Amino acid sequence: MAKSSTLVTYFVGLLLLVHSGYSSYEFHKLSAITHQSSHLPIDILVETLVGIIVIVIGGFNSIENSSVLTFDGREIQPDYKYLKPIEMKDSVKLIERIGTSDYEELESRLPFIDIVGKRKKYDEWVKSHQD
Amino acid sequence: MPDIIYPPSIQSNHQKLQRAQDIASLVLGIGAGILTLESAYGFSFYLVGITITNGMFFAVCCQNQPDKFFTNPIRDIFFEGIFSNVPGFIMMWCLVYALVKVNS
Repeated sequence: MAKSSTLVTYFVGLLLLVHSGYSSYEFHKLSAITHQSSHLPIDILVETLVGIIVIVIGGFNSIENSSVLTFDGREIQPDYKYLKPIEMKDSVKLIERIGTSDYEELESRLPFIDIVGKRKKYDEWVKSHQD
Repeated sequence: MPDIIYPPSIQSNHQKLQRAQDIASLVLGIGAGILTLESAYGFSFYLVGITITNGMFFAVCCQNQPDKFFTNPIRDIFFEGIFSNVPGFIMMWCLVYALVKVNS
């Protein structure tokens, strides 16, 4: 799901581009009718360039890192706004703050979980709290 | 001692760079079409535009420390994506050029 700020930036940029494109279309049509050839007006040029810059900024905005949720329910921001550090010592910091690891799948081994044992433990816990 | 590299981060960074360059090349194509640029002017417009975009990426996203995010920053950011994005640029350029210059 894209952020609303990104969508607004894209919308504004596309509006500028559509407007300048239609202006350019009208200009060329007019110069074909009047048989006068001249350069494209400077304001169309400026509007196009501004539109390009706005959309590119929107693109940069869309690649920002999103905040992550830890196991104990806190929301934390990554250290860097846009990219992820490639060095192991930096990149595992965030994973550790979340409270998991890359090998979680191997360590927890969900298919080998002892359901009966867990159930027994839980029943004992319930019993101990009923009294 | 050489630093140990974490491959998923490299992949994610490359995807983000690729996304920024995709958007930039398509929008530059639209711009070149609106300005009805022809031949070498269009391609130089693309080269200048994509280089400025890469420079912005270098300054804004890498926060001027690209060694932290790319194994070979200058090559990865400034040279690798230029030619792979030319087809997208030409597609939008031709489309918008044809729309703007229709029956004139």
